Amino acid sequence: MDNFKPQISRRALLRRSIATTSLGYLGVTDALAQTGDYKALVCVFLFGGNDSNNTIVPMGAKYNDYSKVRGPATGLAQNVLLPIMDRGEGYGLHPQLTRIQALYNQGKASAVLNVGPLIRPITKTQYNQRTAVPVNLYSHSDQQQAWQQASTSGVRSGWGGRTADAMQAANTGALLPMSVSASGGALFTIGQVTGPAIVNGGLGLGLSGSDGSPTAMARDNAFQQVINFQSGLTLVQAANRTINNGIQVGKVLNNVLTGDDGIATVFPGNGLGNQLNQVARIIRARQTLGVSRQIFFVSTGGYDNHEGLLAAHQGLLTGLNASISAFYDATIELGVENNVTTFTESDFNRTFGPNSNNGTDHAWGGHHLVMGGAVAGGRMYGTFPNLAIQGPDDVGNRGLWLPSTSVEQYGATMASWFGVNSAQLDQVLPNLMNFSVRNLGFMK
Amino acid sequence: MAKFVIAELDIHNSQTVIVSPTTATVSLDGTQQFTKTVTGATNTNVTWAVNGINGGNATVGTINTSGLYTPPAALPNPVSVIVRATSVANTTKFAEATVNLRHPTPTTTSVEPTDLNIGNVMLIVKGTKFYTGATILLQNSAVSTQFISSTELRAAVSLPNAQQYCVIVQNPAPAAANSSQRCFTVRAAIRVTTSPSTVTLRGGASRTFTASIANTNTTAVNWTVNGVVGGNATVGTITTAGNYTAPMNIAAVNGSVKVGATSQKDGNAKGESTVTLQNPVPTISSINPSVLPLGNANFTIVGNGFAPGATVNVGGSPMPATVNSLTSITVTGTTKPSPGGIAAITVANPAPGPTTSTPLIANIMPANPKVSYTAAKRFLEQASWGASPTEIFRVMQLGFDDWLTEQKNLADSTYTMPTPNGDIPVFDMQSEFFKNAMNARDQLRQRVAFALHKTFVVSAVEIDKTAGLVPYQRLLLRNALGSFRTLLKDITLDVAMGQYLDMVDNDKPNPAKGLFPNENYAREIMQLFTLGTTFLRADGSPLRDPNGVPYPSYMEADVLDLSHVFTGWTYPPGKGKGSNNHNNENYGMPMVAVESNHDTTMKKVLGRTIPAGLTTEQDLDAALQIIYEHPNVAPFLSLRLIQSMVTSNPSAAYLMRVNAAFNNNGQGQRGDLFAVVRAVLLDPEARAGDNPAVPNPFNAFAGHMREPVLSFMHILKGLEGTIVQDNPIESDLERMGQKVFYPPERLQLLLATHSRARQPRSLWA
Amino acid sequence: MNYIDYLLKLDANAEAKPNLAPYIAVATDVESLIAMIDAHFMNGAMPEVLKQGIRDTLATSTDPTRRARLALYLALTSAHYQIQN
Repeated sequence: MDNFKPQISRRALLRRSIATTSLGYLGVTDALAQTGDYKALVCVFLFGGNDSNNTIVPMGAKYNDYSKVRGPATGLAQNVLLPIMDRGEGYGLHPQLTRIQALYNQGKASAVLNVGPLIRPITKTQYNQRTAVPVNLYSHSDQQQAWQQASTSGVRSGWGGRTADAMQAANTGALLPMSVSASGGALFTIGQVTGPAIVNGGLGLGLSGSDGSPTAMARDNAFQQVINFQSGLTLVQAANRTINNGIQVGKVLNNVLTGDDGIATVFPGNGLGNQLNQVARIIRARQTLGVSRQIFFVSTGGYDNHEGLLAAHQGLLTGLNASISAFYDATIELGVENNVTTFTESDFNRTFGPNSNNGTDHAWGGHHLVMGGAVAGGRMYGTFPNLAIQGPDDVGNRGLWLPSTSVEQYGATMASWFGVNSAQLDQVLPNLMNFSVRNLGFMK
Repeated sequence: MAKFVIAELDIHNSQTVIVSPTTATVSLDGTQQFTKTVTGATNTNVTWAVNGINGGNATVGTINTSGLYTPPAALPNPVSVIVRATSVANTTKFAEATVNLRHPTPTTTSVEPTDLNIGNVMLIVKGTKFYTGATILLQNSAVSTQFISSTELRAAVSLPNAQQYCVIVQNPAPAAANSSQRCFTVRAAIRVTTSPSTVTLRGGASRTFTASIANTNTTAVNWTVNGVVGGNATVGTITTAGNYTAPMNIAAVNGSVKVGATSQKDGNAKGESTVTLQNPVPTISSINPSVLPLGNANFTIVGNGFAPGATVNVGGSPMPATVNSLTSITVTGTTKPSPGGIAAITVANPAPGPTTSTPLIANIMPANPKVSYTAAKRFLEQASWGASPTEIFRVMQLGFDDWLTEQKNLADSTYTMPTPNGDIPVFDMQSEFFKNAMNARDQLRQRVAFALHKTFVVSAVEIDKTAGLVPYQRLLLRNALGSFRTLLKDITLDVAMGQYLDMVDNDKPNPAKGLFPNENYAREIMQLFTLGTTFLRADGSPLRDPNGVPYPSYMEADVLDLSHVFTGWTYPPGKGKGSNNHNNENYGMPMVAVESNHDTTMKKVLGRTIPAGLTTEQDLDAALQIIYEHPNVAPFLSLRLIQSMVTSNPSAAYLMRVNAAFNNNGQGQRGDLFAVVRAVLLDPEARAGDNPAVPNPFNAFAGHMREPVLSFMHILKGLEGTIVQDNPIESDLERMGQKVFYPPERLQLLLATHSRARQPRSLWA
Repeated sequence: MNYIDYLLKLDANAEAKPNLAPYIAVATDVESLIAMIDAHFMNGAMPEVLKQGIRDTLATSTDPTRRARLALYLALTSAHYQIQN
């Protein structure tokens, strides 16, 4: 063993099946069974702040507004862009988003323009007066929270989790929480009542050593007994609940995730592809699991490109295009392509003006992709920003777009499709009442 | 021979006497009635005589007046006697009869002894009417017979076969007849067998043997050990019921004995079992002294069954031992630290039958400990990678303060630096991390460096060259217990950090190209490393405006100007090369300034002005000093160190005490990290709970969930584990969601992952 | 928590080897084993329910090594251990 090369050691460990379960907070509600229609939301979080200025680029006359700021070192040439049309205007998708372009043109994909965290609609003047400006803009951790949280009240829950709270009754009797994170204990999936199941790395979630022998069973019984014990220590209780729920959920998911290779669609072997593969497997088992509504969180990182934007972004969007289009193919394979809606979130957009390292820095409003048969695609929604530096949409001097659409509106449109009624929407998204348009219309 | 006697006739007197019968054969046990007939006289009476003796006598027999003859006890010589009846009326007239006497027929009543076995025996025949000279006929052959009495005869005979034998008694002649035959059974020789025939028995143990005896009705045996009836202390003892108890010292009998059973009837009839002896199960009754000192120890184990060559194990490790006797062992050696100060002492006897005693639970304690075991254990889990018994005992001996000082003066553990232009896998560096954590002594330094790395992140997610990562980890270790101001400059100028947060090759603005300085490091040094986003009060809580909105600790304008400060730095020049405008990627030294790339305009940072015209390094020093002096730094850093080392939820007072140590180490110096760490660890709130008997006043939210690396290390360290260089532990932790050196990008989801921050109730309750 | 199971079963040739010898040495005596783990890992505050769970489990095995592993597994996976006080 001592002389093992690292890679071999890793494999050896895998063979030993040391499934290390990552157990987040799992407030499993005792939902009661119900079957029927099925809908799922899949949030793809692009950690680091995706440069959406290079994801959707204006073509034609407006291309010059783009190229004069971005230039060849950080900008995309017009002839490599993948053309799409929106309300009579020509735009180009990043050249790697080939499958997204195809889905867009089939009406299965769309984009929502210049979205960002807002408390209520504000003007550039109000921004400069610091009126109703969300706190800690441009900070990764804060804006990752803001996008997942979609609330300014400081609650420790996410809008996906609160959507699950509102829809609990739909999954009565389910064996699995409505929310599932394939990417850690994401705030997005944590509700005020419900919590997520967290799946991890394609590994089983059962207890190792549980081989059914009398001693192993005695051990597990004692384990359960100890878990059920309520101590006076707050943190101890919380940890007990975590582990206990983790075991319950683990038993259910073990079979789903490792029991068969039931998805024919080939996923790319990157982290996002693996996560979406797991999501597809769980969707495939939706009837076994007794779920009619599901909310998933997956993520990928590396988008914080303060230097060398073009090369890095090309690689990132290659992976993104391959992963989410494979996932769309899988939903066709499972016959749920009209029932599953996939959308992106990210920390923030990046500065339109580049820095001296051919990179871009932290900004605010950006464009986001929505994909699925239920999407009213083939066009985009919201308003494309004015690309002028220090222009009407720039709250700085480097092209930091003031969002024209809020995360609340973006989320509310999908939550409505998901089944959350109007009254519940104000619970799920407390700031939605500050916006006159409650549904952006991009869902059928 | 009967004679008919006719009395002579007296013609003149015709009187006659007749006796009948005239001859008779009479056994000595019989009688004979004679009758007389007298004729010719009135008086018919006669007198009876035997051999001329009136009435006879004991020798010839007697006859009464009625003519009833009773023989004598023994035959007279000659064996015939004459009975005469003489007329009283005429004494000349008489008649005679001849009586022939003989021995009567004997009878037998028993043959003794009964329960006979083949061989020679004195046969005793009992019966009646045995007469001197009587002979025993064994199987119809006369054997030499000893006359004992009329009722007993004896003969020494040989009975060679297991069969039925018969005897007859023959009286000497003349005799009436032989006795009838009396038969008896003779069985083969007696056999004794003992059970079980072989036994393995430990010294001191007991076993009951049974004897079974064939061919006799006499089952009594004598039990022996090695031929000694009842055994003795050396060979072991055995009761009359066959219960054998082995001796404790089995060497004295060479490891085996014979247990025997001898027929009490036949000393030659003997059964035997072989007992193979094994060493006894040793038992410990006490040790002296009862609490063992840590280190050099000399103590006595008192008990029983200690065999020569017995070994002693204390807390799972062997210790040199001398067996004094069956009941005493002297142990001289070095005791090791044992979990909980509890050690099992066992004595193991060697072969044959090697066996170990039930453990005696003893305590091992250092002399005059300065802190309790529990206190030392808690302290180490906060201050190091975990509490091995060894380190716990060290803290108990040194006390907290001396241990901290000792730690401060230990050399840094290190990481192998790749050769120039070479690289080693990050995996190897991770292996080294775990090896250092387990094996290297500079535990405090490593633990603080680990805490610092969580704040001063350089992630291998992005910087995957160990040429860059190794110097950064060395830098953290080097500065972990030093000056924060030095640390701040070192990390700022580190190449890996320069790459990670893009300060390397960050140039002054280029208006012609519309290029701005890179804001990344400018923002993150404030947000992530020193200030956070909100202005903090000394107790760590946000300072808020009247509407409750926190004041930001810096503005976008600060980020912008600071991004200008941090222009002009590039990679260190490669070997033999001068500094170029932008050097090639190169590691191992800090970044270097290129003045022509630096923006020398005036900057305003956090309300203070940095004048125009300074050099690249002067600008940087000025800006770092401004940041360093910001009041947020103390609570920002103190909170992170407390959370990483002691508790997720420190009280405001605790935080303020640590802040004070940051601001002044007691000698007027600010930013002395050793003083800060010392304050974090020695604070009463950190030490509350050292005595489990005293309730922790901060109990409700004290402590923190062990993050995967700590949980893993605490267990392995707690189990006094060892790690080899090439270890894949990283793979395990990765699956637990914590990949060493690969913190998630830009602290994503900081609050939702391992840190519980300060709101466990809302998230967890 | 499965890594704890894994850790406790590492063999002599493995890359990270815990020293279970002191625990195995006392494992014939369940109460002493519990006392040792309590004193060393749980500050002497092991809850009774955990002690009982260990007792119940150890009743199924007499092998000292297995006993030591089981007892440590139950203690070290308990929330009382996972929270560092």
